[in-house]
Amino acid sequence: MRAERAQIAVVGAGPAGIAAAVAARSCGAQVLLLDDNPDVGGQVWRRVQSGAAGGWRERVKQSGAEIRSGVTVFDAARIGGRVLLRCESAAGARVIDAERVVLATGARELFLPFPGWTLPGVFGVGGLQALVKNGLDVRGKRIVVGGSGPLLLAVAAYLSERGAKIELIAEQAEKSRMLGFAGAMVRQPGKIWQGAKLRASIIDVEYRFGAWIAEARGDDRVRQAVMNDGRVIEVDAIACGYGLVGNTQLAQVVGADVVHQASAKGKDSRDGKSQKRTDLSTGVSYGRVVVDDVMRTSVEGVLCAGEPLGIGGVETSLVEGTMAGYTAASRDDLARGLIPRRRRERAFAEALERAFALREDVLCLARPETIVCRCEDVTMARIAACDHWRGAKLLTRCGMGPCQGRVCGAAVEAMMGWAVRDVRPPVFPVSMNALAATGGATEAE
Amino acid sequence: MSTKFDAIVIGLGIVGCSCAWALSRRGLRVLAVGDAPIGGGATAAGMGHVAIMDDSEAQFRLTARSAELWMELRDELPPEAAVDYCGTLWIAADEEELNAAKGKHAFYQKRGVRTEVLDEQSIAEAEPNLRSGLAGGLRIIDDSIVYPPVVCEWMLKEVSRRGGAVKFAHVTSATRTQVWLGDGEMLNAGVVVLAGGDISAKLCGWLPVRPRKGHLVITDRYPGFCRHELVELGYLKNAHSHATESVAFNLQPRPTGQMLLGSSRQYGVEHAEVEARMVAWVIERAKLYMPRIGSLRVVRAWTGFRAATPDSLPIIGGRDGVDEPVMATGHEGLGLTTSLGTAELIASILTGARTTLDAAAYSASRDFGGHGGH
Repeated sequence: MRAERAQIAVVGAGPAGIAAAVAARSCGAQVLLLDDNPDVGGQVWRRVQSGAAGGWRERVKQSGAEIRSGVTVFDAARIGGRVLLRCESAAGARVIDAERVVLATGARELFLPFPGWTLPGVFGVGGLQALVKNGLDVRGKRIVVGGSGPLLLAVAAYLSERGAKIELIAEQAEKSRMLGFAGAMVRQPGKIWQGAKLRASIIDVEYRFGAWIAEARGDDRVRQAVMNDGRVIEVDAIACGYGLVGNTQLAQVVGADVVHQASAKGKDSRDGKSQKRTDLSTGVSYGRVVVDDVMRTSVEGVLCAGEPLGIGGVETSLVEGTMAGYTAASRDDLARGLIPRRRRERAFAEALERAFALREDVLCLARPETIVCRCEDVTMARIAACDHWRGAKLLTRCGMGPCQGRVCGAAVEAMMGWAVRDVRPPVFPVSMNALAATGGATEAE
Repeated sequence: MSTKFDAIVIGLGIVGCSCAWALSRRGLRVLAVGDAPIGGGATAAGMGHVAIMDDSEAQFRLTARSAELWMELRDELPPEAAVDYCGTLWIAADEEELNAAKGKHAFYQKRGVRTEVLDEQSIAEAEPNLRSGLAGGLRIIDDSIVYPPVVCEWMLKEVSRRGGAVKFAHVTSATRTQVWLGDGEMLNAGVVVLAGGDISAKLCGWLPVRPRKGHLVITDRYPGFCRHELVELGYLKNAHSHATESVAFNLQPRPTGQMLLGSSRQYGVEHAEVEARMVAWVIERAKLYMPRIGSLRVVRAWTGFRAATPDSLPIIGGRDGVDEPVMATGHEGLGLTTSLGTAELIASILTGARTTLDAAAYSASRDFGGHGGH
């Protein structure tokens, strides 16, 4: 297959990718925006038309960037001074040969296994929201929302607006930890307003700090949520999520430097034989793509913005996306002008991360018989008997199923303190035909 | 390490684990030492195919004896070892290859191996997803598949249970009775066995063992899509040609419904990266035999390095008068199959235990035709 040439290819059309495309277009560059969803907006703006989402969606559609939805980029390689992206869509396979690439690959949910989590009716927080956006009816359904982070409130509010009865929002972080976060909020008035608005729509809902879902009980589906204090709540569904993990796979495949730090205590689990986790109370980082001050990764021609650099939220993604777009269009000067704003956003994100740092308790909810890897039915006991991720993969086949560890990998990393980093193409499941068609391309049309 | 061991086996792949296990079964206290993890390296990267081969009498004897030993072991292994007697189906694309299949059939029959020649119709019935118009094939009925890392883990647990031990360490040099580790530690034993696969030559420079890179991909679950381990008869030309690069169609059904697709062979490539070009070539080759495979989804691709020798036979045993380890290396693509036979032979050499295998054929002192040796 001959490759299709592009000046700038942006992978991912969430806030960071949209902002990158808009910024690069504003400098007159030719931009191809690739995304695997049916419409731009990413996970966070899925089916949201109002407010900032609507504005940015409109902006990118007017920008002159060529938007291709439903395209999965499964491999990236730097060859001969260019960056090749191997893609698959319903229309077939393609190779994009770009001068520069912006990776804006977003984040996925961190789901920590607890007894009963595999029962029907137990969802990820973002997962349930996506299902409801796609038409799942939650009217009158009793739901406990648990886990950690601002997303709990946002999703609870959304579900409540769609007619669900939110029984409880259980935030694992202690209220005392919110003090620092509140301080950061004071410096960012816009965010206080957002927070207050969120709270207003779920004003009657009990929101508890230092609380988490210890177990889901049920028969053919979930019936009860058992909280950490022993309280039992009758439910129709549980939505649980412990924050987000950046999607760094494509960056790793193209060879960009990624820092892995399993614990903020400074123990870098770089070698495969790292110790079992002892303390993660100050946060888990899972690997972040390393960029310079204008979003360039260690690989020439490859930029990165948003969540793969560390979870930062929409505002951070928009700033970083804009910077990456400018840099990709060789307007580093414009990117540099945004450095102070980025620093502010990142400071806020870090305050948020500290406030919502995961406590030891939620990393130890899985019992020996609790399934950790759903694809391969691997229990906690079998994983705990291993010494590191690669050994666990080889001996238990954990992370070897269709999801390729996208779900259990981050959970195992959090629970065991192992670095999960054996990323190889294809980073998403892809047809044999697509691999065959795109494997030979090295020159452009 | 204060304990004195009768034997140290270097290498935690299937060959090293088998040797450690076989020696400990014969009463030796064994230390298995090597880089973590257990069953990594080529063992983890390979397909896990136990195949009786007929390229040479020596290869036949080692693979056939090993297959017997695998058969004896099957009930002892944990269920996660996923032993499955799916058989091998060698595919003959044309009349010439079918004649070759018939020749192989005669060879196997004479030696008591159960085989069956398939014609055009019966191969289509045996494997409906093969393209039509293939000439036929040869079924090796008692060939099997196994998940090797689990076997390695099980073997080393047995070694530990019998008073042996496992040590994760990088070995920097070794003699017949001593092993030095990366941290400077020196270990002593009655004898040292080197089962280091493709890196064996780093410890014993004369060894004519070269890394030969391979690519494999695994699909999502498609139960029933393929029933036998499928190999094109052209595979043999590829496996034994020493061309820099080659591919051959080789498909294996896993008990989960997933399938492993290979195979590629490359000399002179040292980096382990998955090469899109090689993956594409492997898939194009597969589509010649199984056009419908193109629509199946691949969930993962990886590479590994086989330990190849000039005559495609492993190197088993020690050289007289040379202060170096006893060798158990150079198994190329047949390490999983021949691990048990190799271990039996090593045990025979070191303990005098009986074996029907003739050590001379695999000797470290044999003539490698100008490559290494003495």
